[in-house]
Amino acid sequence: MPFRILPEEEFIGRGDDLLRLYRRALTSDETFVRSALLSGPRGVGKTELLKQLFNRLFWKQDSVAPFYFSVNPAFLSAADFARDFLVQFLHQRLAFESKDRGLITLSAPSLNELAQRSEERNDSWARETIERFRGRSSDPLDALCIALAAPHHAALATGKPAAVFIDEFQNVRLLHRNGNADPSLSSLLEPLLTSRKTPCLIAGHDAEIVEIPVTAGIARLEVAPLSRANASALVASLSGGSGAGDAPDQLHERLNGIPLYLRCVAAAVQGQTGERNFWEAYARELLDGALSLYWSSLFKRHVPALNARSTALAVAYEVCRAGEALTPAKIASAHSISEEQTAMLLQALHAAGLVQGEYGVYRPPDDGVRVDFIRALHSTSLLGKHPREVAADLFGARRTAVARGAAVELSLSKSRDAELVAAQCLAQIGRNLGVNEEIIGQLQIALIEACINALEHGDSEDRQVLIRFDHSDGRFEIAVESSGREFVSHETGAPFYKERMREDASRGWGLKLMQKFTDEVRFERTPRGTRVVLVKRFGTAEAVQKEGAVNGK
Amino acid sequence: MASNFTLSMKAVDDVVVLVPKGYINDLGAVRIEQASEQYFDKGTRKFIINFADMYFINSIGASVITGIVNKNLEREAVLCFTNMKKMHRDVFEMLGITKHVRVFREEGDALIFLHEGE
Repeated sequence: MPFRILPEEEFIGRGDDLLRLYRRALTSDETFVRSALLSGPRGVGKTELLKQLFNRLFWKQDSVAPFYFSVNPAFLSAADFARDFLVQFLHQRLAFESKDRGLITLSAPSLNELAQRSEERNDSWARETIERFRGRSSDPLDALCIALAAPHHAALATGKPAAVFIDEFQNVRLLHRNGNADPSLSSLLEPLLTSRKTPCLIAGHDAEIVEIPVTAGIARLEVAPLSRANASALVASLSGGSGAGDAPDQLHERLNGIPLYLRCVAAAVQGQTGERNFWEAYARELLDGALSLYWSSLFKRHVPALNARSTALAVAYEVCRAGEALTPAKIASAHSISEEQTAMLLQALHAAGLVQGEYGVYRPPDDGVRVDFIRALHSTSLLGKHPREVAADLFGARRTAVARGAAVELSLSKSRDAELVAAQCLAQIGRNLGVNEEIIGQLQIALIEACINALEHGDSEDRQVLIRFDHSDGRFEIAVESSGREFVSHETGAPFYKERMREDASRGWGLKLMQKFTDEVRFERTPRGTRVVLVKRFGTAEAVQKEGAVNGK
Repeated sequence: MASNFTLSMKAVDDVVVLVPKGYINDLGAVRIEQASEQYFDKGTRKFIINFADMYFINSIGASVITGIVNKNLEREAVLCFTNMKKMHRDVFEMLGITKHVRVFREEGDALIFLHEGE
């Protein structure tokens, strides 16, 4: 039973999220609540949020029955999955209904024990489900269907809907029969995901989950990293008043409000004070700590073959080092391996979260910690560097990062002419940097088009468009991210339009304008949706040359 | 909410000068279209759009402007664009609009052309 949760003093900055999800779950008793993907980067605390939600629903009310299930990679045959799912559901449901301490504390009950409990409680729906399951267990597909339908049947029989939480959902892609993975098996979850009686919250690795057809069109509920204030509060809480103080600003920027990272570093600093100690704790975590263990285990799980790991690591390092999108062909030529093998390794690295990939190109992860982890692992494993030397390299990278231009972030809501807010923000940033007004104007036009697309196509419940302005080395990079996905072709990365819009010829001009007034436009898939990145060089010979060409027209 | 777009108009003899100000999105461009339609219905055949005060134009607004240009071509009316900043000219060039209108640096140059044309 998922009762092991963080104490209140360590579950910081999530009160509003928890309350929002709690209220949402309770309304399923009266209205239709759609299933949703709890979306956010790895380590942001989705699992903890689901468990906290389960606990609150379990103990604080009795109109909606919570069910938490984490897809165990060890039970992915259809038969094992079906039994695991059914046993856990019956255990949690019977415990919820009875609040029987004996049942609650029962560890890993068997189907027989649960059948006996349901007899004692006279829960006919549970008995019938178990009988049906036993009668069809020789056919794994039938057994799977019966198990997955159990929450719905229980809801019909008892009149209480089930709030279903499925964690590590990406693993359902690996469901198999006779040892052969069968992606179509995941479609059997569709009735569960669409039933009015069993609204689901699913979580896991977003990038893999959105590739599962059964999740197409599912709503997204964002779990954001902690704010700086809450991140500091968490570090202080975990330091236990030992006087370690707060982590330095640049380290906070690195850790990006991800609770997993904050917890690792706070534990590793061991109550010592000062900026240097925090950085050293971070370096230890990357080299040999819980943080390293977390990413190493993901790396090993997705690249299981020992003889492929060195190459995979070299490929991941190459993507991080390049700092730009690379195709498998380009990486293959640099490493003298086949393009096919490179593509397979990149897909595995993508699944592990160690590179980002979409539209056939791969980029470093957004998360600086993962980039540092790859660099550290590359240095120690492939280059044979001493950990102390690697830590020194990391500090060098930190200084470089500090010297880079500061990023500015902006969040836009859908409102009339909201794109002008972004354009004005850009103008001020450009003027502060002394950028030519002509270049600012061109970028503004491209940015306006990107914002219009994003505002129009965002489909999450918050409908926010996030804009990030970065500048360094005479280069502007503006990322416009929305929750919209449908307006970008998966094959080419180019936008396409709904039928209604296709009739309006003007809608194809937006991309052309973006391309005309920037040096590069690229489309990236993100866990949240789609990001359009506009790149423009300024103050370089190349920019002047392009400027001249535009003027010449 | 204050508008980010205004449109002023003036008649100089038989020429109508439209001066859009601010951000030309779909709504702004439609207002230009409606204004030119009204004057056309009253018999005006010579138009100038002075873009001196235009800050931005988006692709949807530019597309509506394309429609205005096409209508003027069909009706054999004369349309002049003036006071365009370079990047706005680039936008119109990309859409192929500038091939079908007379482009002048200043509004005065366009007025001279239209009057001399008589």
